[in-house]
Amino acid sequence: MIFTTVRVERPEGTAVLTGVPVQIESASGDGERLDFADARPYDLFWLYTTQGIPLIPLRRRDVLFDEINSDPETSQPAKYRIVAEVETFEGDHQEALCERVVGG
Amino acid sequence: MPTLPSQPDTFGALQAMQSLILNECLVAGVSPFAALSASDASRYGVARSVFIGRPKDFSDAYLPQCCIWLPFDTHADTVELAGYAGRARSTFDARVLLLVDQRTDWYAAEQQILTLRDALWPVLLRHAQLGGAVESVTASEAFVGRGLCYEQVAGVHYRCFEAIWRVRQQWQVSGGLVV
Repeated sequence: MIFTTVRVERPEGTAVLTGVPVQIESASGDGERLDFADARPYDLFWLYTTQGIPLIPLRRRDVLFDEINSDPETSQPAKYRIVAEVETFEGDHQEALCERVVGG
Repeated sequence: MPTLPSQPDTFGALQAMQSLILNECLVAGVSPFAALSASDASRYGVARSVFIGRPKDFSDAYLPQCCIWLPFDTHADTVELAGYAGRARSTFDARVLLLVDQRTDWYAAEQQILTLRDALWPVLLRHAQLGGAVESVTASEAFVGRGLCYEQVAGVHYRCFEAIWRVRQQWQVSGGLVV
């Protein structure tokens, strides 16, 4: 589990927010999964906002770049894509299920 | 008779397909596929989202997109020797997959995928040898693959069309057959 900040892009390449404080933790537990006719290996993560609901609330398909930590396998900024409906706890925080592609 | 190459050139054939689609699959006179970022254009060597293979890191910024890929299917890839002199032939069936975004307006996506399909078919059917630039390619032909379909990527459904582009290659095993 890590505490960090993320840049939100919607779609990827267009930043809509920066410096969003979040907590990220692994949700995989059983190795990488496959998607897109097995071409896209990924790991699952839970992401929680830690300082309320972002000015522009997170939503499915947003791409989040870790502003502090890099992906250990690519040495590039770790990148997460929200893959399910984001749960919003009114006035408190958001929780999002994300995928991070394995490797580059 | 022209000299045969000493090996097939599968990546060259896929690049020829990519080039034909980029240059000839047009809607209102321009390529309908999304422009790549400068770094991705440098990485892939093309300006628009017509990929060889399925991108591991699928991006919503690159829609509509086209993937030319070889599936895991033993029936889609054959190779045989054609005599003791060492002439070899092979055939592969590449899948040409078009993807468009249907999240905001499914009906607009439906029209878009049909437009792309109609722009693609003439390109696939017109070229008997993928434009003639790849020495090993002796024939190319196209078939309906899955046709209109859907793909789910990272929890999102996309409207798609998939065709098969079959390529035959021929080459001469250098030095002929040996024991």
